[in-house]
Amino acid sequence: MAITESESLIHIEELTKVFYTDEIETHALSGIHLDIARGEYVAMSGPSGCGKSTLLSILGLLDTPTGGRYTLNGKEVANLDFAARSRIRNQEIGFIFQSFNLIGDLTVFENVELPLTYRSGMSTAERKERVMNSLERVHMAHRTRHYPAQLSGGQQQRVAVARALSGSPSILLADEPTGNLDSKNGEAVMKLLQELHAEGSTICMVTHDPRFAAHAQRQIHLFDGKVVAEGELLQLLADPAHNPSTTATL
Amino acid sequence: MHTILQDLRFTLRQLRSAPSFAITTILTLALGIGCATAVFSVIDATLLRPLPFAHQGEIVVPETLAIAGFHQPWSLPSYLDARQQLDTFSALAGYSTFARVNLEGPSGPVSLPAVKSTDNFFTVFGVKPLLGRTYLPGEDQPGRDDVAVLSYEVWQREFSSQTDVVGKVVRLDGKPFTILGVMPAGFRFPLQTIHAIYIPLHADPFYISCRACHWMETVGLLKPGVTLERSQANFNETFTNLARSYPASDTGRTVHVLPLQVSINKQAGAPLKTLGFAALALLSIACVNVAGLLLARGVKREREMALRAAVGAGRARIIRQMITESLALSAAGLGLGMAIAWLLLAAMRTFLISALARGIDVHLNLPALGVALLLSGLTSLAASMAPALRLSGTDPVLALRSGVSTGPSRSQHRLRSSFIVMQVALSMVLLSVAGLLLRNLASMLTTELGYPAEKILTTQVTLSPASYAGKDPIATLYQPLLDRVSHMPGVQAAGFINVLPIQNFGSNRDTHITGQPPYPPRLDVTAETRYVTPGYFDAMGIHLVRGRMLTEGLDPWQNPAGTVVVNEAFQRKFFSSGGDPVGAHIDDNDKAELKTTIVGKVTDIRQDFRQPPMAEMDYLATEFPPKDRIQMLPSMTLVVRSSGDPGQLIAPIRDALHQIDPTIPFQTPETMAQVVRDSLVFDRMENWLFGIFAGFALLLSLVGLYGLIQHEVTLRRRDIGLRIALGSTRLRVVVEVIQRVTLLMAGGIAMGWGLTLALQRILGSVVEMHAAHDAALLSGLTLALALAGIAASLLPATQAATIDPMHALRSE
Ligand SMILES: Nc1ncnc2c1ncn2[C@@H]1O[C@H](COP(=O)(O)OP(=O)(O)OP(=O)(O)O)[C@@H](O)[C@H]1O
Ligand SMILES: [Mg+2]
Repeated sequence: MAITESESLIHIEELTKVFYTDEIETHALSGIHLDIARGEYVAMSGPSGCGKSTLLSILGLLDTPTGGRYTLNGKEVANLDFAARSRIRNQEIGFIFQSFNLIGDLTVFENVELPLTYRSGMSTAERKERVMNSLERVHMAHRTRHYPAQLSGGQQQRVAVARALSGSPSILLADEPTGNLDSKNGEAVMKLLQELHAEGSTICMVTHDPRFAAHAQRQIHLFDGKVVAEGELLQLLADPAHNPSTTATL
Repeated sequence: MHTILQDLRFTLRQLRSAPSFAITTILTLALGIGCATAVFSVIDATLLRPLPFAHQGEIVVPETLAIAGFHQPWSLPSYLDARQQLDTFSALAGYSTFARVNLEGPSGPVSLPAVKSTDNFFTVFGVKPLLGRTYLPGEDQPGRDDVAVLSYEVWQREFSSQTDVVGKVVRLDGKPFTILGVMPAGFRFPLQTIHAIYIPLHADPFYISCRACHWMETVGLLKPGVTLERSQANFNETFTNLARSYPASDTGRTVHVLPLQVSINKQAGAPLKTLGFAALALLSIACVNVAGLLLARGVKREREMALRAAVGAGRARIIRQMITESLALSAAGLGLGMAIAWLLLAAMRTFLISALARGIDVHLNLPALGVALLLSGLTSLAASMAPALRLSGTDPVLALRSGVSTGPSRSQHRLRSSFIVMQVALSMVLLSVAGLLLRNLASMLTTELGYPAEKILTTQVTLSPASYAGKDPIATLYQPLLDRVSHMPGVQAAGFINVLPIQNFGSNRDTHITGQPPYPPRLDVTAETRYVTPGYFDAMGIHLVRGRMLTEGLDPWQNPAGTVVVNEAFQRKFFSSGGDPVGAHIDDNDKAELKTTIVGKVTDIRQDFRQPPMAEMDYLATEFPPKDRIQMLPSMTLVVRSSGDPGQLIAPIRDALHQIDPTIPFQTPETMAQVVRDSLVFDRMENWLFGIFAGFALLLSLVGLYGLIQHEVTLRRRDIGLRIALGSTRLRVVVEVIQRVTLLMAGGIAMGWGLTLALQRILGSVVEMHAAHDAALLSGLTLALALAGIAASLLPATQAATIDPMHALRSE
């Protein structure tokens, strides 16, 4: 193992996640081990339903694991209460979603400012500076007063990236950030992420597209709720008897 | 036609799949339509529907005023003079409804209200009798006047609708009367007199010549083509003549000729119209609410509409679909609304009958149904207009641009928010009115009467004068009854009075104190005049302040001059510049030794509930010589103060009365507290109605507010999830929702205040508002409304707070 626990930003051990719905329990994640170092750019891929979004939401503290350990920035965060998780999310994590998820009633500026408004003790001037900074980094500083509906898909996603950046998070989490974009716009967003990485950001991105995954420093493959090696993944995918569904009836 | 059916089928399927939307909408419509229909029925029956008379446009009520400006009825001689001199009337009838008569019917004696009138009474109304005939000219003259006309209700109830009653002889007050005819159902005059029997005037000889005795009312039929102004001029001239001929009694009397409709609705007209506005306000709240619900539903269906537009549906087609939907809803709302109207009217019936002259005519009839139909149609059209226009304009591109979150459209929200603000504003107006009414009523009901109203039982005893011809009713009836009642266990005191306080007042006399300078002509110098037995003061808890009480020993009728006790209000009115009433004399006779002497002063009680105590002087009932007593005291009210439950005394009192005279109908006793409530019946009805309306308005506004917030939360699930994902705490989410509600409520309340102030003139017909005096009450109501609004939004707010931030991750 190249990275020790102490230098890693994210350290995960034996992480499991089970969803209980009706009479069915779905093992979305079954025993994940993962470390992400500060400044690393990780791409995560795998077939649909294999647990990528689930893992990302646990990494982002949107959800809690069923079992296992999760250390973020040296702090054990697997079993924090809602309010504590909110605070950490706000300070440490920047999200970029597939469907941009801008709030239609807020302007570009207000959307980017949103995470900052949840922090106490930040002056208006500082907030403004941070918002303008991050908008400049995504080349959207000229559209601050527009509403999301007035922007193209690629522009919306750049604003979403700016919002993720505005709080200076420890890590950027992106779930298929190019999923709703054409290839040209997709490329632009990828270029943006690469620039951010070059400037020192830690990024963990889920993507289907091998071309985009290739941008990353390291690739992780998920299959059926587990991390597998690349060769293994190809083998598994080729086997028609092996379908990615792990349901057990109670 | 085919497409309409298709629309309808689709609509029904849609509504079935959204039952809570359908139920809320239908209930909202039903409440609005139901209340409006009920109020319309009342307004229709009392203000709009023609009177049950032939020439109602030409029927007028000459209202006579005394020199001091208060209403003062006619004296018989001046009526007879005027009738002769006036040339603008086909008929001017005089009548009086003071008396009740005892009808000795097949099933025992019953007391009926009697309308005593001149011979031309029925000519005024031009209504043909159902059976027999009405009075012939001259049938009000002594010797020919022992005849009666039955109202339809009396004929039905007391004569079992026998068709052969005409020509039969019945005993009224012990005297034989021949039945001339029966009036058709619906005919009655005065309009508030139900179950009446009509008989000629039978005026006492004393009144025939008494020009200072004002007791008669008139109603007239104008000659064809005569205008109100003409007849007013005619009256002015006649009254000037009368004043010239009889300056002592007729100087300064004036007439105000009013159309019958106007005179009937003097008290109730304006409040009823305001009530109509209240019903319309409620209806518009319902309408706005439904519009909001439709709009909310429309947002959910934006994609459906976009798809319809994308596949080529024209704008008109989409609007029609929306309107079909709201018409289907309003049909259901109409059905339920009629049921609500019926229930409301049934609940109000007793109020209506006793508070409104034509209250008994209020029914849920065809015109009401028509109005309800119209209202529901208009309401649903109005409610669906905004959503239909909005939705039909949905951009078809929306259908293609799935996945792009644009959030709920802002203008839509602004529209719904302004709906809520309007609702809250209207509720605020209704709440203030209802609150003030309730406060006024409550303060009236708790007015310090000076006696324990719940403990004092009263019953009117009306005897049949004919059976007492030549007898002294005090010696044979009133006193023996009093003796028995006084000895019943639980009775602390008992007495009689001829005019019961609260129930009646205005039996008064112009009074002058001997030795004082003449009073200025326009001054009100009346003193209420009562005849009592000594026990009355004890029963009411009136006690002596100065001088002595009246007793039969010291004040026998044989004394040449009368004696009275007066109250403190009398002293304030007639001895304002000092002097002692006790020992003073009243200028009621030219000879000094015959002038009435004031022997004592007693404490005040209110005669009329709505005014402070009036000046009053009380004689003993035994003041009249025995032979005159039956004429002067045919009816007295027994007042009994009980130490326990006064209800326990009812049966023994009835038995005691019937042991003495079984022919006297026993009128169900009421406590003074009930008498007070009866006298406030109009206030109570107003209060009740505005209270209900305000309650409904509040309910609908809260439902509307709840719906809006709930809807916003649903629409913004993703936004809220996103905020939580970005670090917002749950508390913060709740606070944000409540902030929004607070803003809406504040806007609504401010507008409500503005409206209340702007409408003050209209509302004034129902309740007066005094900013300073009512500030506490009104700000209390404001606060309560604001809190209710916030409470209504707590549920959606907590729902918002528990939204899973994972929603932000998953694309819909
Ligand atoms: N809230 C939930 N309740 C029940 N099952 C869930 C829930 N969320 C996810 N799952 C299940 O967990 C498994 C993993 O889902 P997840 O969304 O992580 O897949 P994914 O790898 O992101 O797929 P995709 O590439 O299609 O986005 C799936 O089988 C999914 O059905
Ligand atoms: Mg996914």
